[in-house]
Amino acid sequence: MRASFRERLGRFGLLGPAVAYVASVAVIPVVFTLWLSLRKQMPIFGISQFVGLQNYLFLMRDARFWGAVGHTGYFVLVAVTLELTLGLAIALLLHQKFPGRGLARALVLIPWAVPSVVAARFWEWTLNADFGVLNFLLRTRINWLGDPFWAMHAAILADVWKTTPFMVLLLLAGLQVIPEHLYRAARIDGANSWQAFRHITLPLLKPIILLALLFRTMDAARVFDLIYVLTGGGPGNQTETLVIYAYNLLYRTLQFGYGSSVAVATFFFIVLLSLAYLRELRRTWQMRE
Amino acid sequence: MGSRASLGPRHRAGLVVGSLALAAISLSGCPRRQASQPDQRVTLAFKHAQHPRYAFLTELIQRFEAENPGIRVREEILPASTDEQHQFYVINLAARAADFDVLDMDVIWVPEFARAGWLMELTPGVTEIERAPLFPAALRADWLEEKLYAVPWFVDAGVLYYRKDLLDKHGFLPPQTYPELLETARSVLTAERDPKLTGFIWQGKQYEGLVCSALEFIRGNGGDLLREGGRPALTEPPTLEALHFMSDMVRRYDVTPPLVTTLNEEASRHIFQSGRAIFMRNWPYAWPLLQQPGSRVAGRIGMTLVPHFPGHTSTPTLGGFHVGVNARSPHKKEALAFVRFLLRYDVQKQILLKVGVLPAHRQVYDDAEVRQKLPQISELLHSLQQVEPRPATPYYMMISHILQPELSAVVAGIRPPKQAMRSAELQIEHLLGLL
Amino acid sequence: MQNALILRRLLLFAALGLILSFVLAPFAWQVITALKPTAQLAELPPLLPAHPTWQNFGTVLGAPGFWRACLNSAIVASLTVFLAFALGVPAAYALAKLRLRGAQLVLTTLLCFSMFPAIANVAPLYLLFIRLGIRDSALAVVIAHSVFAIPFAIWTLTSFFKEIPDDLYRAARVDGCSHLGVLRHVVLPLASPGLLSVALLVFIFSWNEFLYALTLTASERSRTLPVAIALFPGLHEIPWGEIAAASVLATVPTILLMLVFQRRIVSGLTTGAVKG
Repeated sequence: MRASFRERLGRFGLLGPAVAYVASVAVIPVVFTLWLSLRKQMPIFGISQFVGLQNYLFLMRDARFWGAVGHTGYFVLVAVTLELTLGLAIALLLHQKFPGRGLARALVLIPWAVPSVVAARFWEWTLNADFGVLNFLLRTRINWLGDPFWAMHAAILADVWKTTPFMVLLLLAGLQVIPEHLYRAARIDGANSWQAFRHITLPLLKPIILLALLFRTMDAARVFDLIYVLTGGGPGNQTETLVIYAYNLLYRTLQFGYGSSVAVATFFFIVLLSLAYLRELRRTWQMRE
Repeated sequence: MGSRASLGPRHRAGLVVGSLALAAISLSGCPRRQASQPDQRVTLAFKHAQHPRYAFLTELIQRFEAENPGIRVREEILPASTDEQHQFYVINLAARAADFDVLDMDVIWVPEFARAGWLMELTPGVTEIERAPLFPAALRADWLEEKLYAVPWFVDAGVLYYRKDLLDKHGFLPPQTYPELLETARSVLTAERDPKLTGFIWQGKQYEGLVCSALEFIRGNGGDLLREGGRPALTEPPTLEALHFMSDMVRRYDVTPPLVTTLNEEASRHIFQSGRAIFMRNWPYAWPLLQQPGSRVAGRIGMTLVPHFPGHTSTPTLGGFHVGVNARSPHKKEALAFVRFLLRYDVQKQILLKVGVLPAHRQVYDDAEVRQKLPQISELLHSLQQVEPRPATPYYMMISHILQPELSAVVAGIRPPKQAMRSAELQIEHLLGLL
Repeated sequence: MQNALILRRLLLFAALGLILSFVLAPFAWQVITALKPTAQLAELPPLLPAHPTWQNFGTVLGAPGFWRACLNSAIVASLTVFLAFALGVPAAYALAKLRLRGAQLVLTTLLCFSMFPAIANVAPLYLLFIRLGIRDSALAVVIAHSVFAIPFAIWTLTSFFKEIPDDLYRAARVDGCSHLGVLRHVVLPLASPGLLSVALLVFIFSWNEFLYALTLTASERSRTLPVAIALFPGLHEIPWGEIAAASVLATVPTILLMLVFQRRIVSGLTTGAVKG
């Protein structure tokens, strides 16, 4: 049954504005960055020439770039896994009925509510090996931000603290939508909590979990503020992520062409990471239909 | 935020109109640069970094406006983070924006901006007489091919802070060489037996401050980053020796704590202020903060030249900010007048006394009132006379970008100095070859 | 049976206590830091200041431009949410309920645009806004924020809308409802926990966003709160006490919002609509 013209116009009206808006604002910077990535652009030295894929070829051989890829990948893997696990646990907890639930839900959101630059400065203050409160409480002198091993994990800790509420809120909203009667039916059938969780909660929560994973992965792969303030990418570049490397190239050394190619490479890296989630999400939605 | 459930057509129209109205309001807040003022005055936009006492800078500006009735100066504050300032300038100047007239720049950006053609030439506007009293080391960064592109309005130099009470208690004089410092620190640490006390802290985090600290070790041993002609001198023996010493302080002698790899200016200041370090390398800004009531070390500290290695001289690293004029400014004449105002003796004196930074004008340091109010000024002058700038080349930011991780790797013990510096040299040579 | 229930309760509260400590301890530390006098900021012990002072809070509240920055942040965040919903809700509805060919393509493309690292986008966007003459205005920041907010809203709302059973949708359409009617009477009420969650997340994202806000604003006129806080430090000094105070104050509005709306997020499950 072909949709009528009026029907199609209606659909266009629903979808059109959003797409047009995002396309018109977002396209320009993206195209500009792509264009720059094909050039050698160093305004200080008056160099401005088209070099085709030269930047990308150099990228393949750039050890610092691959180091950044590794650091970013590790950060994403560990941070997102922790955030999902913790987020799910907290969401399940807050889904139960108990007095003070409303307050608890509001309080759990606090880390997400703190501006990220402030949070980063604050963790820099807290994780200082000498006067930071964490070492004071643990009665130790671990060099959280200056030791090659600990630095990345300290950054992950700060990120997990900051963004778990995001997961919690999404997952909690997802939990709300699961109909109560399914659990009642399961209990009548004799299922225990764990089985209910595995066979009702998880499957029904799957799309939201995938969505949360998707967005968190995208954000974690672009982590910048936090690491920049905490370690500056150090020590010895051991925590330099892709966006930090791109930032240094673009705004410190003013290599606009090469810096843009790193930004584009970051984009492809994110696409790669998200591909699995996207495909699974699409499959889940198709199964629903 | 309203109920989401009632997005009927009428409501939507209202919301659209409402948002347009809001947009109009926000738009009208946009500053119009060439809008004719009723009094036809020229307005200069002076972009500068936040200072803790910037209210006093406003006082100075009011004085300028009083002396120059046809000119008004509007301050636009930039965040104190030099990276953010640099980012702002780069975006705007590369796009040839004429949004501001006078800019406040970190000394290491001047050669870069000058080379890019973003700064107006200041000679002959700023005369020989006006330039003569300024610190020559500071001016070195402002020249490009015989033309002057900026002038320093305040300067900074690394200094060594020490715990006078601890040194006196154990009968030591403030050290002049690094080996002396090492000796003194070890003796005091052993005698004091305080597990929380460390010997010598400096800025070892991976950022520009690390280059400043490292340079004092390197140059204090007769080494340098670049030689005449711009060749990297990173793998020369004096440089490597100095870096070995830096690393040994942490790893071998236990005089510098491993957490030095996380220290910037404020973090090291806090450790010293809490009384947990014998020596600290930092900038002069820390002095009044360390002496404030409530500080654990108030009245118990001293300040002196940064040390050197035997047979060489103390070489503090130069910091500070310079002012320049946007090459695209529509008010070049007025901007120049403002720049020259900032260089005047009386204004420089107020900059020291009121704004709280070290002036670029040498004679201010001999002023009687200044000496009376700030007794440590002679010590500071000493440092300023021996100060050395970082390499005044347009490539400096790139070199620093390469050097910072390698120096950090040395301090953190990830790579030995020779390997790190060799890697840095290769990268620098590659970079220079690309240009 | 009673004992098991009590045990369960205890475990619940223990777990809750643990989680809340993890979440709140750093924040509590910020509050404590804000109350410490400047000269003793880095002293440990004592954990708690012997003479707590309100000075840091006072400095922040009295700082020039602080209240204006709060107002600007509120305006920007509200407008961003509004824009995200005005454009995102209809789009999500269309993508979720109407069988559109190429829906996946649209979704993925929207997502891709918001995947680009912000630092690469910031300069071209900034230059564009200069050309348009809207630099240093709340509008510029709203536009920049909504480019990220809209794809997020669309994706998340699409997911929530898909949860609503198709029969309800078809029933309403059969009854003669226009799309807007279906939205208004069926979809939005049922999905309100999701809607409020998205609204809250977008609001907080915009409230706290820093990079674009920093680049696109230049003066007190349009400066937002995170940027104002970033202006506290001097050349070398970082007034941690003041930054801590400012961050505490900056967090309060969002907590209040959450407290107010969390009830609606819970009760979104309207009875009667989803009976089997």
